[in-house]
Amino acid sequence: MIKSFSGVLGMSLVAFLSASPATAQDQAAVAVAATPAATGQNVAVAGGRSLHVMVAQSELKSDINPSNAAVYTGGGLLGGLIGAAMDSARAKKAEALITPVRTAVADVDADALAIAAAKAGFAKADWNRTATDASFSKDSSPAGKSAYLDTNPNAETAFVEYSYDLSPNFDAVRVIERIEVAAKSVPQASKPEKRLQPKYLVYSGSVASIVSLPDASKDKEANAARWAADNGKLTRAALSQAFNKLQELTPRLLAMTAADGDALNRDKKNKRIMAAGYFGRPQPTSDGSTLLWTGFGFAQITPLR
Amino acid sequence: MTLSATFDNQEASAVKLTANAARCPVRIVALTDVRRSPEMIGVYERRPIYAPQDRSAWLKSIVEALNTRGLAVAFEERADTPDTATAKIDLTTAWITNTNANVSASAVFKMQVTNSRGQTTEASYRGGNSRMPYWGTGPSLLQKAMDVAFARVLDSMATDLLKTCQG
Repeated sequence: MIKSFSGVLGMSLVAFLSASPATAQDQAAVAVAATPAATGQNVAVAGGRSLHVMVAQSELKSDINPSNAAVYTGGGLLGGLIGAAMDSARAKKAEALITPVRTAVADVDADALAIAAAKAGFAKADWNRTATDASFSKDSSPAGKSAYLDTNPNAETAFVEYSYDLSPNFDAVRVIERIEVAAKSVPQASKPEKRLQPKYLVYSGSVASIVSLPDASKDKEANAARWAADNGKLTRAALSQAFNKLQELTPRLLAMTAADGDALNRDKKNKRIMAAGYFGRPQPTSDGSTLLWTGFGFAQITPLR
Repeated sequence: MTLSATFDNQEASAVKLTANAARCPVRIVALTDVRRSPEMIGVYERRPIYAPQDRSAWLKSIVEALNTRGLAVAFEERADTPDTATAKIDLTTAWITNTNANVSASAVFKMQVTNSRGQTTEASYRGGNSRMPYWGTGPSLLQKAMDVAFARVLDSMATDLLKTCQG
């Protein structure tokens, strides 16, 4: 419990610290190319690079808004205990609410959606031209990824992990793609699993695709009922839409150079905004959706169509 | 960690049984793990959780617990008891994850039942368990969460299977 609590605190702190102050910048000057350029994550490498798709979960996950009890009580052990108990109760309720949705979409093969998204998203990466069949695993643990690096003959592997869930208020389906390119040989890493530490990664980035429920209620039970209704019709459509959006956003992210990312991070004239739980600088879109640069990648929020 | 191949049937059953009623016989003619990656149960706090290596024994251990829910289970593809209901059971989900402060486990069996009159029905049965780990996240807690989830699936399966003996 303490570990989980401190984990949440840690993540919040990282998110807070990663936010840099706003400055001026011309959005057009940092517009990202629509097609992949010859950036490091796209070009072929000596020894080859493989694509490994991972989906650790077996069903749609639930999420909660973590309690602020620890903050309100001034912190300390008691505050932590109260907060953890509140989070536990919220998680139990979320699990109960999501169960009918899971049942309704039990036959949806999200693993296949993820594999298709990865194949399409990486199709134009030079190194991936021969990778017609991406490997797949449900083991996204550092130990599992390290074992994959050892058994795979290529010099590098692009680990692409997908997670999908319903937002805490049950007002959106969220699909997140995390890309980590790791090298098989990292002489500085003292243990095999340390090859996966951020400082040793060749590349990392993420894309989030959030599909919002039209006319969502503030009542999460009402929203959950809508996601489950009619054999999960809206959930099926939202998952499909979200994974499809990733196929568009992934090449765009991969085409970015480090300088492109820095330029977006320093674009202080373009104030960060909060949308669907994501904090970032809004980017122009042609379809009227909300697209944010989060500092690590993109988050796109689109209404369910 | 690797889950135990022996199902712990300690969770109290919610199946309401008629006093002194004979146990309802059911023949399990197929019991299959159809999950995409049957060796995995999930990733909890960045650690992999593996299914038992002997998954046949594991599944059998779980389904045998129907015997404590008013049923008399026999595992046989052919039998000389044509008046007994038969069931084909697929494990479609067995998953442990962390949902914020909690350990959450879920299990789903798809079961096709043919009663003694030859009528066949098919449905999915789900069980879940979400609990706070308190001070530890050790193997016993994860095993418990999974076993409770399976116990709840068995309750709902038993409720339907018992109907095959009710006229």
